[in-house]
Amino acid sequence: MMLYRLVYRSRANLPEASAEAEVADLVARARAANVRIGITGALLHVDGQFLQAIEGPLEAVEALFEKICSDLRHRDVQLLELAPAEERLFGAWAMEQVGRHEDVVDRLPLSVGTAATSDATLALLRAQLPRLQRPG
Amino acid sequence: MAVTAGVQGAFDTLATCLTEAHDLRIVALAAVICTIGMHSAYAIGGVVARSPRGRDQLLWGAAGTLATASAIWATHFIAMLAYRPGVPVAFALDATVGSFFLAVALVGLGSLIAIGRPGPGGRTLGGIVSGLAISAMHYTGMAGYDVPGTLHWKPSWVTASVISGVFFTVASGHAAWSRHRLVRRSAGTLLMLGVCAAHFLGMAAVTVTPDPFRQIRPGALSSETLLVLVTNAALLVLALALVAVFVSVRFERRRRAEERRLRDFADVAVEGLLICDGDRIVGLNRSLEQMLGRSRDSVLGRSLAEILPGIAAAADVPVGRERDATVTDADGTSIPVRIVAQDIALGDSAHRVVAIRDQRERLSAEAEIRRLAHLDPLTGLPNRRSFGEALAARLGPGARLVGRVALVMLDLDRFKPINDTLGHAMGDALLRRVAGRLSAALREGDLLARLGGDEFAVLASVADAAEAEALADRLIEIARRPYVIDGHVLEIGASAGIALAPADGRTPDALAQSADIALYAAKEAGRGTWRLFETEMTMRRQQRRDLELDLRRAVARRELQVHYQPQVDAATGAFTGAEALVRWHHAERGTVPPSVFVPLAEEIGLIGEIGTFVLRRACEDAAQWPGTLTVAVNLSPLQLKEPGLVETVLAILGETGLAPSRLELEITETALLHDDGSTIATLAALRARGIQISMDDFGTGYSSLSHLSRFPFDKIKIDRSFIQLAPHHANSASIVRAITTLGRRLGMAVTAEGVETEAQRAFMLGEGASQLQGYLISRPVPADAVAELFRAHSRVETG
Repeated sequence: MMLYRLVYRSRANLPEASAEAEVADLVARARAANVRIGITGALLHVDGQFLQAIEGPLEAVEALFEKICSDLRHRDVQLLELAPAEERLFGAWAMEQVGRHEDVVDRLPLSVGTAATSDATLALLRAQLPRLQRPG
Repeated sequence: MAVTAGVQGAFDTLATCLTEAHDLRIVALAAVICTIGMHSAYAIGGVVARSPRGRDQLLWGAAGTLATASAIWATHFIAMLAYRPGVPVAFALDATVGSFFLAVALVGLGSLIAIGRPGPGGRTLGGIVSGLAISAMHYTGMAGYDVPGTLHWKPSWVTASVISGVFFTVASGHAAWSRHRLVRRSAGTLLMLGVCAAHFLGMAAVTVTPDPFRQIRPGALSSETLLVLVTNAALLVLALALVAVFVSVRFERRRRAEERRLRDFADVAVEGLLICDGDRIVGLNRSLEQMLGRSRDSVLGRSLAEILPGIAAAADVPVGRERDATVTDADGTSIPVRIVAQDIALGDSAHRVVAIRDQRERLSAEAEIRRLAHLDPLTGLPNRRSFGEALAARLGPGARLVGRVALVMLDLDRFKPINDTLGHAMGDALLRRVAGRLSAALREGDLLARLGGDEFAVLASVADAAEAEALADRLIEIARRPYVIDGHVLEIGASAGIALAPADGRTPDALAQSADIALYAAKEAGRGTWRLFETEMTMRRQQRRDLELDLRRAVARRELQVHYQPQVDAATGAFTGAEALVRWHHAERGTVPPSVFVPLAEEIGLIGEIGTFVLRRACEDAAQWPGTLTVAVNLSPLQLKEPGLVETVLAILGETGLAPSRLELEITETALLHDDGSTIATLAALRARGIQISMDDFGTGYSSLSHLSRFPFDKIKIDRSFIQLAPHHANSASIVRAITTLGRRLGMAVTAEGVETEAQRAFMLGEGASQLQGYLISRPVPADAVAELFRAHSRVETG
């Protein structure tokens, strides 16, 4: 089965007070579902925006992205990349929430054309993965 | 106590009478004869009931009467033979024989009454008469009882004897018609009890006092003679009983066969069938058993109303015409059915058959059809029709407006290209996704519908306009997010118009029209946004409609005119040709500028017709111009996309006789945007025929140098905005210089438009423009004026 990777960014449409808790809850739920459908990836929620990479079979990636696009907790969803992938970049993570605010807030990629932003986003997400668990 | 003692005494008397005054063996024989007789009476009665009316029935009726009367009579006299009063006895012939005929007459009368008046009343009356027959026979017989002594009668016992005879006979008659088989079977026994009770109570009523002076009258029958008579009567009873049993068995067998055949037929039927005898259910088929979830036996014998509530009697079911009803199944569920009745002769009496058709399947199919009629099959959303109904329910007469009702009309932007290029399957998949997303943007109670194509609508209760605007914001934002379908990334947008009831319309039609107008305004404002309905929009819309109508009329009547603005050689000042410009002078509106009516014509699909008209008129006029003067005609991007443009242009050149080299077609950069190659191919085909192609308005809009590299234009026309600023405005001057240099390098002539002053002319000349056009040379003038100008100039030149 062909592997696809999708990268997007969006603005978070969450009340500030409960945002952190809600995102943590969302990620926890997603993890269990993702294992079943073969999705891996990482999510960064910082500074009122989401940056997320999703990889897996096309059908599962599409379905998950459609769910995100039907969710009012996101706004202004911007698709940065959808492309076939040779290997998983987040193979060990069913969906990892990464990045502490102070670590990444200055390193968020600016929108400079979607391809470049996508590469920068992927690099940032990878760099924030828990060091001890990184495979290889 | 006295009563108890009285009853006790009566029993004692009866017991003493039976045990001491009777030979019990003969009493037993009497009882046997009576039992056989009474049962055969009913067996024959059954045969009578099943026989066809007429002679057979009459004969069987007579036989039954004879059997019954004989049995009563035989029972009486056998019992009398058992009676031993202790003196010799004899029986007077007249009374003995008379009592037999009296019994026959009364039993016959009772039976006639019972049969002649069906129902409980007739049965009671017939029973009374037949019961009286027993007593009448008994006491007539006793009148012929001859002993050497005196008979003493106790009136109370006589009364009891008569009453008990009547009572048991009436009871027997009713039992024979009972619904319950066991009760029906007891009818014969009850009748037997009546006969016995009447007889023995009657015997207990009599006391014989021997009187040595009395002699038995001569001529009376002796016990021995009577025995012969009685034995014959008993034999008659037995014979009749046998015949009755035989016939009745045959009847029963035939009835069973008929019933089985009927049931087999009925069980094949898909519809439920009930057979009613009066209001009692006497048969049903397997389909009905299944429909009701009840066994045949649990239904048989019930009244029709128990199965068909609301149908009081079988007579209420119309014959040959269906009506609606419900049946109740074993679980108490009501099943909707249609019923129809038919009268059939079953055995010998008329029965009513009720056919019951289960309507559940049909009703659910109808409900499904109704559902489909109200739902859009693609998205599962309510369709236009049900949305209209919902809107009418909210706004219609009688509806109470609580707060405000918002109607949001939503159209997708850029949907059609996706449908056209990626196919309808992709378009359908996209519409389903859009439906899902829009649903996610709704609040509780909002109604979303797909009105058709890429049109959606939302009906919502809102407190104020801001709430409706927030809803429209959410709808547009969620629809605008990217779609990934089968690996394709699709980007569309949405525009929305909002109208609020009651302010923007009190009726569904008015409100929908307002929302449509607002939607149109949102699209005019650049799409991807919403507009709230404003009253002025209607006015603007109306004005636009009027303008549209006038334009159509003008085009149809060929009222548009073509004016020409001359062009000169920048170096020599000699005329080189003119640009054809379309003009519309309206009787009331005055002159309508092309910047107003050309976009309108493009929008309403008139631009092709107008373009062809201008092209033809320009070619006609230019053909009259001297020498090699050229005419420049603008082509709109839409015209360039029309198939057959090359053929049209060539045909017009042929008709007007204008040389192709004298025609110059001007296009704007917009025409090359999103070109898939077909526009370039059209231009190449035209240029191959010798027609010149110019790039108009260069430097504005989507200027891209790549356009110049994609096609070898003959000429570049620098937009007037640069010329007008050029001499003094450094940036504009630089741009003009760059363009003229570019033109020179690429081998393209450069025309300066909008030259109005001597300074501009000098500047353009200095920068190397090859051609000038503008008010400095001439305003656009009518055809005859430009022709005159050209002719005059040509005379000057040649003269």
